[in-house]
Amino acid sequence: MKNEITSVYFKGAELKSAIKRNKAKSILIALIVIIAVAVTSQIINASKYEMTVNVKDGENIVGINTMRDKLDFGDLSRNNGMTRYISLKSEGGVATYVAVLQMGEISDLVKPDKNFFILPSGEEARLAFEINIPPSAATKKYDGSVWIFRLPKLM
Amino acid sequence: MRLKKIFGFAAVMTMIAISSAMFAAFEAHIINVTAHIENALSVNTEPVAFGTVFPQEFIEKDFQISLSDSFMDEPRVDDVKYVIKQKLKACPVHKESCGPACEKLVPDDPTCVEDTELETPHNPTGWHYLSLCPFLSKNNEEGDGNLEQNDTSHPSYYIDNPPAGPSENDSCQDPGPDATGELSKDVLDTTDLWTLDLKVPPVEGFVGQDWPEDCIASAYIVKNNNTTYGCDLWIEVTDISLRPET
Repeated sequence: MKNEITSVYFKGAELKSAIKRNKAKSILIALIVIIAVAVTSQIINASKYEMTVNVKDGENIVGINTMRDKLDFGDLSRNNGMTRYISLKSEGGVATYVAVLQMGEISDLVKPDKNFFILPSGEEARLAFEINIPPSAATKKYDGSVWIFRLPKLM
Repeated sequence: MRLKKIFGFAAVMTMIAISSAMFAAFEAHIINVTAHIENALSVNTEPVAFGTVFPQEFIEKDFQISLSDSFMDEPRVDDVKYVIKQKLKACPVHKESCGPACEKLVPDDPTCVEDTELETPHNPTGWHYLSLCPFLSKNNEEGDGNLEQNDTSHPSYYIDNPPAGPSENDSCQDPGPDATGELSKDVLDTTDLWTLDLKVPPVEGFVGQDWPEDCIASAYIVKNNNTTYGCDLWIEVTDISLRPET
């Protein structure tokens, strides 16, 4: 009888411990899921544009491509530069926190004029992306992309 | 057991994907921030530097605008119409201490002036160069592909009437409309060569005797000597025409 009570007691303790472990595991999984959803939704919502520039041999070469499907800086020779613009317009009810992420080989040549800023509700902002071709640039096409994240400013 | 884990993982990933899409749609509705790339672009005019100049000097510089290789490869589009606008040039600035726990922005070039409500560059830094824009002209005389001329020059404020060189026949005029240009694949006009010329105005109080009487007005004279003047040139595209579908 005593052994049965002891055995039940130990099994009860094991069960409690198992429940605690499962609870912790569930909380961890839920946290991972929430973070994954938050990050993935920001990636889905980000405005993504390809960036490209064709560096050419010669002096003072400026070839323009003003199409608006990507940030195409056209043809530029060394020591030349160009600025293209992306307009942001806030028509929602909350202020937005804007973050710019550049990727690719071209990101070393391109500089946005602002990053990590707040766009108040109802206002517009203009992001200037300035590219400067250094004297050491190779004559080739540089590619990359820019992602503009827009997060609601909750606090 | 293994199968159970795989199903569980697949279920979690599916839930993440669906929840992300739903949350993204909801967030986009709440934030409602639209982004678009603009037609206008600004060309870095550093290579078109006149350097140190002297009053009444005449200087020319060339610059070229053409269709890029990527535009030429694009079968959907044909013509680009643009206008060359002139805007105040912003001065680069740096932070300077103005006392304990105090910092202010000051221009790198001390001859820059502070922006005002009426005079602010397009990308303001708080300071801008005195304007060189009224004294610049942009001329395009060459033919355009199969056409004679489809560009419009912006003439100089200074009219050099015959005989060539400074004379009492010379005069000044108010600036005309901005220069416009057109590039077209169809008529083989893919490059425009512009000549940027600067007739350096005299400084107030030091006007040469050969400066035309017609040009004594304050619009054609600068107040400050030993000062940096600047002007930003903007190539603003006004129209892109599409190729008709065949």
